[in-house]
Amino acid sequence: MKISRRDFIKVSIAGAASTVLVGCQPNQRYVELEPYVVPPEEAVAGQATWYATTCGMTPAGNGIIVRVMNGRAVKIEGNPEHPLNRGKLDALGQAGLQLLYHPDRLHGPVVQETPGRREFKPLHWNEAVNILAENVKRAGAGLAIWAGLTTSGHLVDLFKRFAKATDAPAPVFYDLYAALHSYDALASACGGALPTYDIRRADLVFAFGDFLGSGPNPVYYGVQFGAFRGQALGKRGYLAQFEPRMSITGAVADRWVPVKPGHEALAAGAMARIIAEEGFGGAERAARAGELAPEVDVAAVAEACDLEAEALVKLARAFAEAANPVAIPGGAPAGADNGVEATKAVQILNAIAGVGPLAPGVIPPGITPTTPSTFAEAQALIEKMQNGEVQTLLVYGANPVYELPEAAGFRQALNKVETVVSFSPIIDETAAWAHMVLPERTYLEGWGYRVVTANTGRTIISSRQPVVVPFYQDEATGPAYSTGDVLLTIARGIPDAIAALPWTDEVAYLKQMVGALPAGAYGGSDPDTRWARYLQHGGWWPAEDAEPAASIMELAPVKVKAAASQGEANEYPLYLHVYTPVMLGDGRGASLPWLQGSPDPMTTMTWRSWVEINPQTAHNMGIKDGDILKVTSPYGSIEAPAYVYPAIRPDTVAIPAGQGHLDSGRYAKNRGANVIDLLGATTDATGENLAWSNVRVKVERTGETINLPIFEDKKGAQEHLHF
Amino acid sequence: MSRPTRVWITVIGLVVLLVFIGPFIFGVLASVPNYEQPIVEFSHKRHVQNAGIDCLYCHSGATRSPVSGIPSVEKCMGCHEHVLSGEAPIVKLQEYWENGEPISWTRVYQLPRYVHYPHHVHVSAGLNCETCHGNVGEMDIVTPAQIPNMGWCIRCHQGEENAVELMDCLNCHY
Repeated sequence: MKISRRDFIKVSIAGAASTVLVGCQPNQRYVELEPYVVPPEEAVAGQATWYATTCGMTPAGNGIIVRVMNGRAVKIEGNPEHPLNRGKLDALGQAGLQLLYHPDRLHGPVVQETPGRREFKPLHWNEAVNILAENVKRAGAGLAIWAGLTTSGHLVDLFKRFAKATDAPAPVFYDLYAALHSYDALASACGGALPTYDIRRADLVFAFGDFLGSGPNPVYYGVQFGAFRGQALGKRGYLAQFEPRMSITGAVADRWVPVKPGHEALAAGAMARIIAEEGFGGAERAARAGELAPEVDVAAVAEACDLEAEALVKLARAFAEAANPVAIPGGAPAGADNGVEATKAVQILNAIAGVGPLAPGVIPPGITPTTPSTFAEAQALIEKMQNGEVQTLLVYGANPVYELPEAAGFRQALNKVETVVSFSPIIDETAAWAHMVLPERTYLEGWGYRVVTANTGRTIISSRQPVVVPFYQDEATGPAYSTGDVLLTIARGIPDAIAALPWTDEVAYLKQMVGALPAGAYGGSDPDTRWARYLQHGGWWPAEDAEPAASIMELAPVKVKAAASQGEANEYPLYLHVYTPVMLGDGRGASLPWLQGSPDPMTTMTWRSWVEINPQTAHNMGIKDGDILKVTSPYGSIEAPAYVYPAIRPDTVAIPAGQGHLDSGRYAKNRGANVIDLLGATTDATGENLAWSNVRVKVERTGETINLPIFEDKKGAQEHLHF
Repeated sequence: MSRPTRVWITVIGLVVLLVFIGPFIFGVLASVPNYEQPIVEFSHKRHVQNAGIDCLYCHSGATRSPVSGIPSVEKCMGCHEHVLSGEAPIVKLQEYWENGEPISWTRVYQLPRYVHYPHHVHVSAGLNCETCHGNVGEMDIVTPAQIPNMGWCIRCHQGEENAVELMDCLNCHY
């Protein structure tokens, strides 16, 4: 084929002409600028505004500051002025922005005729509040309130006042944090307050739970741990971690002591006895140990704990001879059937060393801490529901359908309640079974305060204020009500409640509360100034930053036994170790893709559940990474892939909580398995607390295998392991 | 050359040009900015020359913020609730105000994301708005007085006493 020059020019001209014709479109306005219609008073274009408020992702009460640009929250950081977390923050706190912008948030109230069908219809806010008011009025003493531990202090007070005014049972504050952090067992073993320790100047710490990753106050302890490791004159504290599965605390510890599950307290008791018998740490400590540590056969205990007796002696000597040793109770031992005794056994080590938990701060009048209920109290309410004594149930900040073991019977009890109302901003498992949902604003859009959970020796009231205007203000559903305002509005229609809840709105309540506080660290001669400074600095705390006072506990000798297992050893050969993962917390992190996608610090797993199994056990059972396992306990079974993990005892499997949601938004739904399905509703010896850490399981291969979503390369990692 | 061959060559040529050169020409044409504003009649000249309004009255961020800012609808209405309230462009402004809608103004100056140009630093150093933006008081529709590229920044900075510090990369790229 030959192309002449003329042909080529003709073709080119035709092509260029058609291209120009195609390209000729009207010019586009390529960048637009949208200024405010009415700018906020303090807004300066191009400059961020930082608002101080309180994290609502965990019950700790960490102070946060939120960067707001042009009316949008864009970044969360720890509040450097806040005496609890001192500018630091955990992954859950950082990811809170995604709750604000979650695509599955409800825009307004919804109702459904048949609970569980998830066929919700939108409702105007005014109509929803009216319907709720009628139901509450009709229910009278048949009203019940179930709330979670992240609930703001002002709502705790309003709920309590409302329940009292209507002769309803006292509200229950119980969620998965309350269960898996064993608040009540720890508090009842430690004189009624959750024990918190000052480890900044300790030279040795024995920890019996994961206090840096998944305890009640990981950020507080993280700050303390920094000081513990980097003390004056290059001194570095020594950490020994007693747990059957290496947690993130175990990973940073100098020594990981893999005690047999349920036997941690026995090890603590044996060390106390060794101090007495060997006279370690001087006459005073040895004498105290002699008074408090009952006689035990150290060799037998060491065998039961699966430890060398010599190792126990060495550890006991290190503890006794340290200048400032501390033993931190918590974790799995506190969640066993003998949780209270196990915690006391650990406290005996502290008593020998002459240290105690920090004294709780004095809470000023009018301030309400969010104190968790016991599992027994939660069960009592479930029983009332089952007996048909509850006509209207309000569920706020908790997700009991997901968080409670099946055997607790909450889901079934919901069928006996005439009206179930949820305040969840996203349809979660409990909201799916509700008749009506009045979505609460997220903590970044709402008012409130938290008395911090850690007893740091002084009272810390952490303020919560809206950092942005409520995200959803749809015309169809009208201006959104906060839950506080819903309660105050309803109270106006109930003669008995109006006197107990006389405020016009929740801000009036909070202003009155803050105005009555004594002058704190930031002063303020009049209530308005105190209010402004309370919001500006992120809360109220006393001016003096004196050394926190520790209170040495009065203890009696504790004869502790190994925890009794739930499930027979011959049928269920492995111990189950349940833990709250660093990323997902009690499961609310599963709704947020940043947290789902952030690798677990120990396994680098993302986006699903897994079963950690020792390489030796896995080898014996022919299990490899990614094999789907069926884990069965006496109470139920779940399926999840195996993660062969060298830092776990061969007789234990560990499964993180947090996944296995049926609802809770698109990122959480139908992903992984809920480990709570393996737990029963058994209480500990006191009959008050859920015994969640002494369940036994069996593991079977299903035959399926998946590729693990991990960020590490495990190729060749097991070549150095010898069985 | 036979007729079918020529037809084929023409078709192939067209396709080649459309695929490879068409997007380029389209891109050039589409990127020619159009500075028409949503309220077409809005004139900087009238505001500056006739009304004698200072730049900083509307662009009040220039002395205290990296960006000078665009006035809110509320600020426009602060005057126009009474001033020329019956005129067509002001009626349009009032509609925005009554509907609670922001006005989507067309951006005239746009720097790449990797450059920081803090207005307040330059204004505090004594620069007039006109130095960079030209005589806006003479313009009905504002168009760029110059292309704000790196060479243009450097020309100013290198003439200053503390040129060494002012020429540091991290002054603008951080």
